[in-house]
Amino acid sequence: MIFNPEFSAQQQHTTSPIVTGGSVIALAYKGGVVVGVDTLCSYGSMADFKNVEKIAQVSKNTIYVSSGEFSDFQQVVRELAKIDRSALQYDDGVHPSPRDYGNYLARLSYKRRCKINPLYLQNVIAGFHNGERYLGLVDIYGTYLESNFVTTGFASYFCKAIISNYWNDNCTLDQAKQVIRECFKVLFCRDCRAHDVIQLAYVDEQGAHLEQPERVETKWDFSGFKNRANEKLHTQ
Amino acid sequence: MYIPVNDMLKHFKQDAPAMANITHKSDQWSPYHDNSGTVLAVGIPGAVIVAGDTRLSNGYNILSRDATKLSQLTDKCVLATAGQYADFIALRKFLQQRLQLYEFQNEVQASTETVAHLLSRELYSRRFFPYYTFNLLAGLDENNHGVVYGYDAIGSYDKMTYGVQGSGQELVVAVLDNQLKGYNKINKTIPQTREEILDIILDCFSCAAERDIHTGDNVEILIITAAGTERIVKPLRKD
Repeated sequence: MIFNPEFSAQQQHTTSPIVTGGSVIALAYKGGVVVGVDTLCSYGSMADFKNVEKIAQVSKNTIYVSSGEFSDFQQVVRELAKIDRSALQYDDGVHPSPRDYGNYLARLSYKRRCKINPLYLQNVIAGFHNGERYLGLVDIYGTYLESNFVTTGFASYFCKAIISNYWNDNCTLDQAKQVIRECFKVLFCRDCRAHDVIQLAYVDEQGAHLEQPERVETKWDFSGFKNRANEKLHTQ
Repeated sequence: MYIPVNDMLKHFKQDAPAMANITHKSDQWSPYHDNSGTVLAVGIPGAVIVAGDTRLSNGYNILSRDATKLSQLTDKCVLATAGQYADFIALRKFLQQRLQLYEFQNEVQASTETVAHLLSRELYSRRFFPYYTFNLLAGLDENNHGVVYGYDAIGSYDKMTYGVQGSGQELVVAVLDNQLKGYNKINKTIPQTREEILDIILDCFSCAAERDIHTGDNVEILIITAAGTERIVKPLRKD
C-alpha cells in the first residue's frame, strides 16, 4: 500500500485518529467552570505519552481541551492562539469572549466536516466573561452546544450518572473538583485508554488557572487481590 | 443608501461544498449524523403554533436535554428543524444573515413567502451535498393567517396548514390527519380554538416521546400572532 503510487498520490484525510487523548469532563460551579482531563496520549492501544498537559489556555479567560486526534488538537490551539494575538495588535483592549472562541471553533469544525476532512476532535471550551460562566461543546460534525456540564469520549457513558448524582448548579469549586476526581477514578478502572494522572483547570472572575497534574487515588490492596486468591483457586 | 449586498455576500458565502470527487468506500468517514427529534406546526386563522422537542441524540446517547430546534427568523416566521444539528446551525446562520441584509436593503422584514422561497433555494444549492435537515417553516401570511411550509432535505416544498417532521413524524402525522382534517373520523368535529389545538399538540408530543427514543425531555411551543410571540415549555418524559 505504501509504495502504490496511485494510492499515495491522493491526498489523505484523517478518517481514523492515530495519537488520541481520552475523556474530558467539565462542570460549571458557582462562580466559574472547572475542567478535567487525564495526561495520557495513546497510540492505538499503547499508552505512549503519559505526561502530556492537554489543557490549553487560549486567552486570559478561556481554556480549551479536547479528546480525539492529538495533532488536530495542537493545530486548533495554534489557530485559537492566533485570534487573541491579532486582537492584541489592535491595542484597544477588546478581546474575543469565550463564546466567540466556541463559535469560531464550531464554524471551523463544520467547514472541515463539509470538506470531508474533519477535525477528529470533541472539543470543550470553558470560560468566564462579564460575570457569566461559559461552557461549550463542539464535536467532529460542527455541532455546537452550551451546557452546564459536558463529557466527551467514554465519560459520556460512565460519568453522566455520577455527575447527575453529586453535582448541582451551585456547588463550590472543591465539590466540583471532587466530582471530576471520582469520575476519573471510575474511568481509570474501566476505560482501557484512561490514565490515573489527571490535570484540572478552572476559570473564574480572575481568569484561567491551570493546576499541576495530580494522581487520582485508587485502591488495589484488597486482601483477595493481595493474596492472589484467584490463582490459588485455579491451582487447586 | 446603497448597500453592496453582492460584495458582502461573498464574505460569508463560499463555494458550495460538493461530494463529486469523493469516492465512496465502506470505511469512509461519513459527514452525516442524525441528531433527530420531532417538530410540528399548525396554522390557524390569526395564528400559527410551532413546536419542537428539546432532546438532542447522539446514537443511544443524549447530547443535550435543552437544545432548541426552533428559531425565530422574522417577527412573523419561525424555522423548525429536525435532523443533523450542525447543519441546522449552519442553515440558521445563513438565513439570519440573508434576512438581516434584506431588512437593511428594503427597510421591511421579509414576508413568510419570501423566507420560504429563500430556504428552498439554499437547500437546493446544496443539492449534491445536502443539508441533512428536515424543515418546517411556520409563519403568518399577508392576512396574518397561519401557514406552514414543509420541506424535504433538498428544497422541494409545499404550503400546507399543518405539518410534522423528524423521527416522530410517522407516529404523529396520522393523528394530525385525523384530528385536524377529520380523516377516518366518524364524527367529523374539527377543533378550531387555540386551546384545543394546543392540547392536541401536547398529546402528540407525549405520545411520540412514549414510543420514539429520539424525542423527549421538553417540548417548546411558540405561538406566533400579529401581536407577537408567546413561548411555552412543557416537560416530556426524560428516559
